[in-house]
Amino acid sequence: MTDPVEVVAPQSPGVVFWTQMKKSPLAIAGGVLLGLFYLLAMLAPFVAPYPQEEMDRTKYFHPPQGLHWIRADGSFSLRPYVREERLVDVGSFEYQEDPVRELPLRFFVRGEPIYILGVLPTSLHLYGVDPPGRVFLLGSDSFGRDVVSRLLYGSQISLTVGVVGIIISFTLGLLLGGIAGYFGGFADTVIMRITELLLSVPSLYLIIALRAVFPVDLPSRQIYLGIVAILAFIGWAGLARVIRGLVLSMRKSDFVTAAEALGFSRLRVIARHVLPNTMSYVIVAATLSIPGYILGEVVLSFLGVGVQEPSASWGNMLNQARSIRALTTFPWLLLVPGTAIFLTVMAFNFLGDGLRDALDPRRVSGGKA
Amino acid sequence: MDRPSFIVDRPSSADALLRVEDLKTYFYTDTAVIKAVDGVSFEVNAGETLAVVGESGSGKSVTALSILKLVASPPGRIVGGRILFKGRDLVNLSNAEMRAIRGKEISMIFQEPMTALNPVYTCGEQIIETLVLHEHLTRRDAKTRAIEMLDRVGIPAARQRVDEYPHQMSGGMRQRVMIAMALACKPAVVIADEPTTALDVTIQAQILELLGELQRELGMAVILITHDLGVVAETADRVAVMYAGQVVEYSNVLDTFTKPMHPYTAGLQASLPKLGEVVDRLRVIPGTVPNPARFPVGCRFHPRCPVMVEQCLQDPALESIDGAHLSRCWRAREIAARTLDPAPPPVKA
Repeated sequence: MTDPVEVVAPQSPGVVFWTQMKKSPLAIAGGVLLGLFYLLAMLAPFVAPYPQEEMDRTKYFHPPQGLHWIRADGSFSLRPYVREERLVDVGSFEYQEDPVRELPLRFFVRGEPIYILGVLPTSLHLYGVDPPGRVFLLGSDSFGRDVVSRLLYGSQISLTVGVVGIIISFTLGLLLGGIAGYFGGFADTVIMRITELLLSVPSLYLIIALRAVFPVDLPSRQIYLGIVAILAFIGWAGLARVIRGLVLSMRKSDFVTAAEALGFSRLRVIARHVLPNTMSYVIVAATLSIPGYILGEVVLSFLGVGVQEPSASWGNMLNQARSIRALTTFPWLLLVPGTAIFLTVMAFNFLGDGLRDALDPRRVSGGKA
Repeated sequence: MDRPSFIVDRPSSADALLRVEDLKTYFYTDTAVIKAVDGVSFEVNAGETLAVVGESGSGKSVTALSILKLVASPPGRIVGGRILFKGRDLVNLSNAEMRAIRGKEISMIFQEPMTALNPVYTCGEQIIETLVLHEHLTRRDAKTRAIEMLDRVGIPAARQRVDEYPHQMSGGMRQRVMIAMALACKPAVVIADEPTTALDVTIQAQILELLGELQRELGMAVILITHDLGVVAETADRVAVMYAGQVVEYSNVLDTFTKPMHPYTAGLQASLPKLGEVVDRLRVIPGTVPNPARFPVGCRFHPRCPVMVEQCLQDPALESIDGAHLSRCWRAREIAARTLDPAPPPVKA
């Protein structure tokens, strides 16, 4: 009974998780990319050369400028520069490079006063050119606003709407789904009928209908919160149903009865023993549903009921690229926010898939299963 | 295992540690009332082991869950009887009062160690949580106690194993962890619901031996729920044989095996293969366990009984036949006097 037994060092779930994660490079790439995007969003005022609403009426629909290292005289410059471009045809918005007017790219330049992370006052910007020249690495829009700056400021809205949204909707979904599944009976009936009601209305219609409840001309912060609230209100129902199912199947399981037999209260059993067992599902579902929120904001802003100009969001940037003319003449207005949305959504999906594989208990190795 | 004989011959007493009287637990479904437990009585004292024996569906597990008031409600409900623990009737206690008893005074060991441990917590954590709740220990003290408990139940390298997850352990180890969890607060009564059914035979013996040791050490009463007559013979002091939600025979373990007074008990024993006996087929009790939604009238065993008479269409009572030896059979006295053989006839090939 007390024979010496070879003891294997305990493998913590963290270690198991990392071993599995390392096997899916796409998920790691997705995670790294998202980390970078969120870092850029946090530092947006510093990274962006201009404020999001700053216009240059002489430089509308400016195409993206290329970075150059070889000067007009053939010599090499370590500092990259962009060439000044001038509007030559007002009708077709054609710009022509001036091969002589070089605007060297300067780093850590003084510009508009900003607050980094909302608290750190500075007027330093990551890059810029000597005024009165302007740099448009990704072009400018119809008002002559820098697309890079708008993309960065827009990401503050577009990337956080998903995270804040799932925090709200998952709190609701876990709580209500947990209660419905664990207690059953009347609570279950009421909660499930509400979710059915929510799920039976087409979501786009519901979004627009809910948006109509709020006045159109709110301050942008309130509009932002309104959008999050609307998306979260729609998002919790599906999750609550899945959580209810998981809890229902778990309520009859031995370890829940065992926990009750040890004298734990019902809420403690739900919170400490039932819901943690749904966590691997919840983490994956959360990761996979963030793109839905990002796209939801895009839809609202695209329809003109989301984030209002002059505040930038990826959705209302796309809104500028609605016409055929924009697609053919100013493709960067579509491609830049489009690529950002595409990359973000793909990164979340890859990360979500990787997390699902890594958190799947059936894949766990190193123990007798 | 030594078996003090004075316990079994003592007549029923009002001051028993745990005394179940005429317990009735029904399940109210849409179509029927299922009388899973329908008049179960027994008692158990400190240091004593009561075996509750019966086939699947005889109401053993529901009896166990009823004692802890863990029967899912709805649809289940305790509709009658008393559960006297240290003089208090558990049936009337509030949820909060019951929670203070569960795990602390009465605890339970489950059949499936694979599923009865929470997969997301370490084994130690689950013991620590119990100790913090009932003994109000600090987490650090609780962890020390948890390691002691794991060590006591024979887990090698308990100090390391305390941080392991259930999936990293074998079935036998997990059942030891379950036992450590159930006994962490030194309860007065432990209900073991088929604690060895899911384990290998060699591990079964070890686990039973461990339970016996701990029982002597802590002086607890054990209610052992099983369908394994071998386990009963080895560990029990007293036996309650259950059939169709009722106790049909209640006696000390020796009498159960040497002079059964109910045809069902006799049938169970006859259906066990005996070493050295050469038979074409094993003896069986003909028929099947009745549907709990529609029990037969009268004695619930009568459709399967080899010695059934007309009187069996009326309800027999669980009566004392010979001192503390109780049986729920009209013909128990004939069986006791050995004028009637209640065993089922051998099956003709």
